[in-house]
Amino acid sequence: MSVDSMEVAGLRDAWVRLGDTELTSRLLVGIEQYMSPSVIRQVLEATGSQVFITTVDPDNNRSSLLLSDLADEIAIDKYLWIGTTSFARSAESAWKTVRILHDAYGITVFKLDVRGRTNEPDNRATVEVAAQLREQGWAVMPFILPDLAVAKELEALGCAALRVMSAPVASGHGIPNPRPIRQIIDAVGIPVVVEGGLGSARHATLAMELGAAAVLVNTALVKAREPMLMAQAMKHAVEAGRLSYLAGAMPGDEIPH
Amino acid sequence: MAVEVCIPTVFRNYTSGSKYVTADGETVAEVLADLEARHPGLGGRVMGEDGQLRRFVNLYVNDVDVRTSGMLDSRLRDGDSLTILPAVAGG
Repeated sequence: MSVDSMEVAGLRDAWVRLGDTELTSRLLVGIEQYMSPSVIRQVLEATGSQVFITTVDPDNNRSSLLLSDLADEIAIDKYLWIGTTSFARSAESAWKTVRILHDAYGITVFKLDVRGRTNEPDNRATVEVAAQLREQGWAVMPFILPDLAVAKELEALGCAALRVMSAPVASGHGIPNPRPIRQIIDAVGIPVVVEGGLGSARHATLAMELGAAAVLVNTALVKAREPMLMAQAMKHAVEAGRLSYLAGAMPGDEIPH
Repeated sequence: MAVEVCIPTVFRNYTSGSKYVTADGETVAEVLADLEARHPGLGGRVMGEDGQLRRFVNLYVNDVDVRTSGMLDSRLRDGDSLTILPAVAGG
């Protein structure tokens, strides 16, 4: 195999199956907090995103751009629609969000977030709702604090992938403690997405060097001085980190196990 | 026939920030027309120029999706609630 074909295989192979769709892009992009549909379109294009994340807010506390307006700017049906419960602050609210997204739009792939008052994942509530989603046969990617037992529990439920928090959402703190994330990556047989607090390209690269299957960013792009440049930086960072992981780094700066 | 209408955050610029407003009508269509009269611009965010409910806007009468109960012809009773719940970009 040539170096070129090795590179292509490392970057273009499917890393997760969500329903009938396989994803090859290892950069997932949240599209909350933007003020302009055209900026979201450019971000999705610049990052090579294959997914379009949408939600509703049955608790009626949060605001985001309307799909009605985004659909005028973006060919949203060419993306895999992923429903998220990121506005939910209870298991009940998360489940209600899921039901609405499924019943109104036929969504069967969910980015499951159940967060507590501190905006950090509530692992127990997340497992509870993940079980309900799996009973329906829907694809689930739950967001958790790094906890190996919980990760294994979610894997046993048949979750398609895990999303593990590296630092508080929107903090920009990166991955201050890689060890527990690495332990989960090494211990489970499903893809692990690193998410939360990734603020710059080096954070995304480290996540991929840890062995993450993908990263998810949102605020990192919204709050960058030049979101479109950061979108491209993140795309390259994910690819660099993935190739570096596959290459196997020389000794001297080992990532903690 | 007065009903309480729950306004999502993203539409509250039409209601001076109010989360709940009152509107009159015996059907969802009539309530939406009254909403437009009281809060100009709001009706157009819920219904398209074709007079149909926009694809990404959901309406619930007492938690029942109008798409399952008669759409804009769904009937309302005094004291019912109408919730406007649009789909939005997610993070």
